[in-house]
Amino acid sequence: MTSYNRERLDLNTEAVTVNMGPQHPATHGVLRVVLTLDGEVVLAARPDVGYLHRGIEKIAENKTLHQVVPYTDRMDYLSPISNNIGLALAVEKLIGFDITEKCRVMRVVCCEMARISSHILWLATTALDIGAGTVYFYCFTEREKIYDLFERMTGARFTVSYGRIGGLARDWEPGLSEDILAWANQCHKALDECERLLTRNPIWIDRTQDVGPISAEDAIDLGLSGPNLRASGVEWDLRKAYPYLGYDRYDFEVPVGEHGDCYDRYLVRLEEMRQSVRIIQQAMKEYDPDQPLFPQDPESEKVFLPNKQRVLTKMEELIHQFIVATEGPKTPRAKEIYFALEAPKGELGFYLVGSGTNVAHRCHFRSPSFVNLQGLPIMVKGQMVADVIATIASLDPVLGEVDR
Amino acid sequence: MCDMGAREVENMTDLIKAVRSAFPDAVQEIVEYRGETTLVVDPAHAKSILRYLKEERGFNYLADVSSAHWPDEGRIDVVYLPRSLKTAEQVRIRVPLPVEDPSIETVADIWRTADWLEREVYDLMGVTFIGHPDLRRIMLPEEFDGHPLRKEYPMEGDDEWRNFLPVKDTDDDQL
Repeated sequence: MTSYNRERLDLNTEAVTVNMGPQHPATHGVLRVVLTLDGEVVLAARPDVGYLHRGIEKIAENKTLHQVVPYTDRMDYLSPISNNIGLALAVEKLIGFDITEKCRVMRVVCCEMARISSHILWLATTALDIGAGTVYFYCFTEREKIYDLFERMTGARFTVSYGRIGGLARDWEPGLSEDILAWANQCHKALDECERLLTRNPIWIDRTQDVGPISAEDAIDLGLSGPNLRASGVEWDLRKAYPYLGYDRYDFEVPVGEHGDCYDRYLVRLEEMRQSVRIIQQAMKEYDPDQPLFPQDPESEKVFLPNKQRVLTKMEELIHQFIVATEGPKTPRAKEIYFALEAPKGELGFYLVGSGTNVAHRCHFRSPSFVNLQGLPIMVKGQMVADVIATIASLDPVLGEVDR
Repeated sequence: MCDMGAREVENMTDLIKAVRSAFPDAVQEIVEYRGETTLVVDPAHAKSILRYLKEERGFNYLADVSSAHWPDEGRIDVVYLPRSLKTAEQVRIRVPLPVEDPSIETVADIWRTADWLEREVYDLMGVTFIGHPDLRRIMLPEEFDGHPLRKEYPMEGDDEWRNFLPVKDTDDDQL
């Protein structure tokens, strides 16, 4: 390597401030990072967020809880089902109602499908950012299959609004569960292909290994969660720590990295997808289409939506649906709960405070991307500009969720 | 599903006892709801309790900082959720502040994650965090007027757009 004597060459050695974003394609949305550079070396990075702020928390505090569901779609719009189900679980915890066994199984399948679709999109775009264009097409082919299943399941592909308080929007059509299982059984092929393209690819390794590292202590101190925390070697998964939806019954492993760099974050996400497939395969064994989706006891029926099939055919049920949907569940006054689930991006927390009416007094969403993004300045300090792209991509921020 | 095991509840009572003996007058109220423990804490002692939780009790992770406005009671609650990643214990610390002057010492020097979480509370709820390293608005533009998550802030206003300054042609644009 040639060494330059900067003074003799009369080079300008001032630090330069450069704006990356908010319209940069590799910032995955409208994220602006103010970089202070010495040549190509990053001296400091300051993420600037808020360009997509829509006041979802304020809106949620002025609507009935059923009406909040579509807004949660628009937070992390790459895994809307997780958000819907997270909100539903939080509300059920606040009002103290339980759901049926079948609903639990279906929700687990939905959450894990959302995890795979989110991670596979992450893999596609990250590879594209770093310059590996081929991976994109393998991943999108696979994601397309998931979205076809989502379409059959929910009627929508992207913002699905499938979660309902007490259950899900509708039952699965006959044959869908078999198709989900068939898809899950072949999903590993696409993952293997991506792995063959990337894991030992020298260019991929050069661009990701030792890039954007963060130690376990820093990751915990900065509140990182999800794959970003686990890549630093911290074995922490809310599905294991506070099992919800019966996750303690499923046999799966929590992949953990070692170095906390972009390469480990890639490996952790890749393995998480394989574990999600395992969970789906196990859950499908427990799925029984003849069971009811919503609880049948009279107390729950006053709060939760009635069976959609009956709503479409019987007048009383239609009236019932109208009342439940417009009134929504009453929240206990001044009672507060925090419910967090392991969303694809990390810990998605819901802090709800009841008001005594059908509108929550306070609805705070703790979004994983927002907190994860705080780790960026530490990760990229002393790295090259090109590594900032790889690091932002490896953090997997969704700006709809960061800004809310 | 949301119930804690007996052992964890026992640990939690230990924790409450320990906090009570270390800070005799600080805990105003203890609330149990759906297996979650909330300590309502005097603002003057909040920071030392949170520091105690991290340094003595191993609560190494701050999961969330949030807030709630109660206009009838004239107070704003700031809510912390420290957690131990080793034992999976978590406890909610709720600090009531007067709405006329909602200010509290920052915990960003205890957990760095509080930096942005406190900025969010400052921006949307208008709570001042004394000693915060970089207390600026985070979601809304710097020149925005008001704090939208306060209950008196309207859902629909008529002149919010005035808060957004028009882009002017300046000499800087010639760059």
